[in-house]
Amino acid sequence: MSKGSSEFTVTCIACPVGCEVMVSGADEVRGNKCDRGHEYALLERHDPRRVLTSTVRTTCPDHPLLPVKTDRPIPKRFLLEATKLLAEECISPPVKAGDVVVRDILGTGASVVATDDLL
Amino acid sequence: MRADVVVIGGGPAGLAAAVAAKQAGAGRVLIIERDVRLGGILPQCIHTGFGVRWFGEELTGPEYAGRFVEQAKSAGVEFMLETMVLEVTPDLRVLAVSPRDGLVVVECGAIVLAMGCRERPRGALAIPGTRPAGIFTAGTAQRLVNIEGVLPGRRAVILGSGDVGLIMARRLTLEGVKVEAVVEIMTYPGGLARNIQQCLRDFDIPLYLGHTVSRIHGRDRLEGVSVAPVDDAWVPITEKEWFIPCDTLLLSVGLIPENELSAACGIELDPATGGPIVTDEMETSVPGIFACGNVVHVHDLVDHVTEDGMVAGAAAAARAAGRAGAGAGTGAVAGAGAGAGDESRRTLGEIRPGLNVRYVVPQRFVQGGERSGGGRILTISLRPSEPAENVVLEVSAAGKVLRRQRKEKVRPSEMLQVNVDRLALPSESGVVVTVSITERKV
Repeated sequence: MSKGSSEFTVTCIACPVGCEVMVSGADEVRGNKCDRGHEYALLERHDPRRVLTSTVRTTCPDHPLLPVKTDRPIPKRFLLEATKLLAEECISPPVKAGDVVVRDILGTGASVVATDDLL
Repeated sequence: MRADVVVIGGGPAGLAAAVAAKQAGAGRVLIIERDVRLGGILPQCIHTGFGVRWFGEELTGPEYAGRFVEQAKSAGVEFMLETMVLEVTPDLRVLAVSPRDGLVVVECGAIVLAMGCRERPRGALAIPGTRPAGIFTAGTAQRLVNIEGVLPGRRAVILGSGDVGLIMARRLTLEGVKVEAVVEIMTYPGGLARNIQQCLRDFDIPLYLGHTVSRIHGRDRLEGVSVAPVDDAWVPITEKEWFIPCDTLLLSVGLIPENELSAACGIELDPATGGPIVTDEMETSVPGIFACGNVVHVHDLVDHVTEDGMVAGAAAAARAAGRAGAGAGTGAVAGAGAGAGDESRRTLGEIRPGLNVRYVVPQRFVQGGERSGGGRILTISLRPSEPAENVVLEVSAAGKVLRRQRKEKVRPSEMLQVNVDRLALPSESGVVVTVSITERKV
């Protein structure tokens, strides 16, 4: 990935194909094999975002952790801070996959949701 | 005990096979799993990237597993958890043991092997130095961090750039561990390109290609590793060696299909994949025993494992019901088919790796036009031996090219698939189909 130059190159992470996508100074996109790559490369240039996956502690001795994710990509610069925040969380059953664990994390508008059941 | 289809292993391959067996009308379908829960390795793979092909959306490992557990349960699949299979026999019996049921013998209409794979350990690498605590396979570290809630250390080096190692580089970084470097002996990364981007570049973790860990330091706990570039024969160039202090070394140096049960049963294995030789119905050399997922060959994507499992499960159900369409085992190609009645008369063609192809799966195919399950299309999965650019992937038989596909870039870390029209395949008994990757002539 090179920044600042007139051309910006990035490996697309939208799917496992991993296209090398180039964005020119005028936001012309090349090298993508699908629309998701187009969208990803432009976002990556101007506002890079990632889905954060992590875990939160639980009160169940048999399942000390519950896996979670943000329900949409959040700005990359918030990844570490959001992980730290989730380290403070502790959750009790019952939880179903999809249940909200933290609403609007760090004001990003994204909710953190469970990705597994805790029954 | 009796069951129509017995599936060994409750990971993604086994779950898909069981669901497909039920959908194909099998009566009693039983999954035998040694762990306390279903899903195989997926519950500890909390990152996203699963299901883009199969579900058309990006899921985490637990979510992907959850969907199939749900499907299996509602289809009426039965489960035996915490149950270890000790033996599989060619007359289709499974011997298993569990704390609850003791020793159990299951008579099966068909068996599906779905035991998955395991990680290559330090012992397989012969790294000089001491044997301190703090050296883990990447998957073990993943289990510690994501399931048990324990960090393996504070400062880590990762040897090998397989996907699990890359995923753990990111996960450890987010959890506050300093990941000093990822060291890869090959001149190209072992994992997917997108994982190099989102797991290493996103966090400025250096990747040293063409390098290895040349020495391990520390008496009780790991104190650091020496890292050095390697020459063409992979021998570390010690003059260029440097020391990285760390208390943790993760190994992400390859996965090995887990085939002790298969080998003990006399199932023919392919040295290139480490898994059973299978037909396009995923039947092994022992009639009635099928295999799918990472026990056959190590896959990059769980979606492909699911696809394999679906084929194996449907074929196993057909076999258990004694219907035509059930295969005669891959043994038929060598004239050793032990299949009963009409089935033994079905002939198998062979698929072989050609230039710059490390292996192909399936290695055999049932001849005679369309198949009940897969229709007219025969899908061949393969892995190149070496990275190459601007190449042609070619499938040929009896001097005839059946399929040509241009590829911009091929890498050993990325499995390729090519579809062939069955009606185009030569019908002579024992025909050999070759898959090769050659440079494109300009």
